[in-house]
Amino acid sequence: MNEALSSAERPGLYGLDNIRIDVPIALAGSRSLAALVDYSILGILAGAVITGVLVLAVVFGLFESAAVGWLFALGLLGLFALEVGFFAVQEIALSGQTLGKRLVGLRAVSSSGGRAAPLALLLRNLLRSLDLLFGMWFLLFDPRGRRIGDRLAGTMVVHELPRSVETDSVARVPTGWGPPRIQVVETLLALLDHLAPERAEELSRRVLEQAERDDPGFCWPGAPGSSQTTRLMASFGRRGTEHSPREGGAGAV
Amino acid sequence: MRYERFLELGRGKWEAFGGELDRLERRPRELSHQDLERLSIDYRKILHDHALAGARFPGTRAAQSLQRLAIRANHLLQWGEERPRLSPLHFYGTVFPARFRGLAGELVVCALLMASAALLGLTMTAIDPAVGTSFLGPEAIAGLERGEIWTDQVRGASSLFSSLIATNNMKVAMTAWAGGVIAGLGAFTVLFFNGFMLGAVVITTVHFGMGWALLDFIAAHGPLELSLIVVTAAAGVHIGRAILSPGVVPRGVRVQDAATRSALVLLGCLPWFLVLGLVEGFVSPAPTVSPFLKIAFGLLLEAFFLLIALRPPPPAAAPLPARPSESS
Repeated sequence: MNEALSSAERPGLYGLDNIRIDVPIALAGSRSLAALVDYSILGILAGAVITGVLVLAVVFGLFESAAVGWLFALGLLGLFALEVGFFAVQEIALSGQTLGKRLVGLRAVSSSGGRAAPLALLLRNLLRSLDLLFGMWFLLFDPRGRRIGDRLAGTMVVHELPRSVETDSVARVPTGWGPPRIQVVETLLALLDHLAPERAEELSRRVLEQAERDDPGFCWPGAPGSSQTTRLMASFGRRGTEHSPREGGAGAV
Repeated sequence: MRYERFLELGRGKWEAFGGELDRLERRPRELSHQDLERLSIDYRKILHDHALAGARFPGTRAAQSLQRLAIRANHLLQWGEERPRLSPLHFYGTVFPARFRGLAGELVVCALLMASAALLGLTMTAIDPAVGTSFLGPEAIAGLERGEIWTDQVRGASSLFSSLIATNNMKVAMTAWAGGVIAGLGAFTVLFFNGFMLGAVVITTVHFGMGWALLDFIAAHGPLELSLIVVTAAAGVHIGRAILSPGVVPRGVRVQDAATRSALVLLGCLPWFLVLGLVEGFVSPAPTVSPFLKIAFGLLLEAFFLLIALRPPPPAAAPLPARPSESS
């Protein structure tokens, strides 16, 4: 099934100049969670419509008059509009998101990853009743997690990614270090504040030893009493802690 | 290129592009044409950096950040299609008739199928009246034997009945349309069932000498209701046809196109069900309105719908005059 796909098999989009962009497709789990939230809200709104109609009928004493028929008729139409339009109106108004999707961090987008057209969003929701019966099978077995409505509307649902652009993790890398080792350092630097101090010290010491073995002279020797984490940050030059031992710098700044 | 050099060269550009995307998302109308031109050029640069980072530094923070930027820019800078005009006049004047005309073949097939199913229901009920009983139920049959037609029960709570009828008919129409996804089978089933039931009910009431009473009830709303069922089912069959026979276009593309076109037909039909609900709730059961008037009203309503649906396309724009250099 789609969860088992390797990165090479994972569906991607092709942007300008045919450059591949791997999109984080939302699969059955997260989408079911969003749907659960949305249907809960829908249930509450439907209950509110029914209660509202009954309260109005009681407060204005309409049960004895012919107006009660109109009130119930409007209530019925309101429930129908809610059932049909709840998802579509939200997705069109919130650019591909419902409240449930927003809470879980999902968004319906066009099959090219762009903003889905309003008609496409309407179309995918018109088929919702059919998808409640058969959609899960399509969702499970389609590599892009598309239910019937998505296939017909040319849409798919993706995870929203954080907006931050994190490029300040390291400023220097030991000679010969490839992406896997850079990843280790970047991850460690990002996690330093969340690790237990002794664990952070131990991991920093091990990374510094490896860096020193691979590129002698790379690491800042450290001022007396400075911790391994301080040495790590200074050696790899995280923004604000830049240090260049080879140029004879005095330490972390 | 070393990783730190890559970061040094790109950092400023990436952060600035992220800021521009924020601006585009928050206040898109503030962006000028030049801003958009610049964004598209920067987007291309970001995509190239993303490709380089993916190949040379996979999994690093820079590669992840560039992937996020590429996805976000792709989302914000690409639009599925232009936002449609929301004017009902434009929709019913141009869009709906064009889509309706595109269903000509399916409409003929669906109308024939429904007529055939009605004929079959009529014949089978004539042979075995139990078929009619199975649709109407023993209570309605007992009423017919007493000279009372079940439609008389509608009188009284007309507003609520109108609403019930309208929402029920819209659900049937949507089911018929959505059923087209199963290679058209769902739409055909709805058509067949409705046609068969119509034939069975008509012959049963005629058998009990209540045919005129039934005509009195259905004359005002029946023609349009049957037409709308046929049209929405034809819209569903249009999708089924695209699934089974996509032609030279890839199936996915053809099905998406058919679904979009047919959804516009469905959307164009839905408001008519509200009108029908009112007619069925107030005009059809009204004893004060003569049957002839109801027949005339029903035909008028049908004619009005067909007038809109069959509206000829607007004349094509006149070709531009040839340039002097071309004409000489």
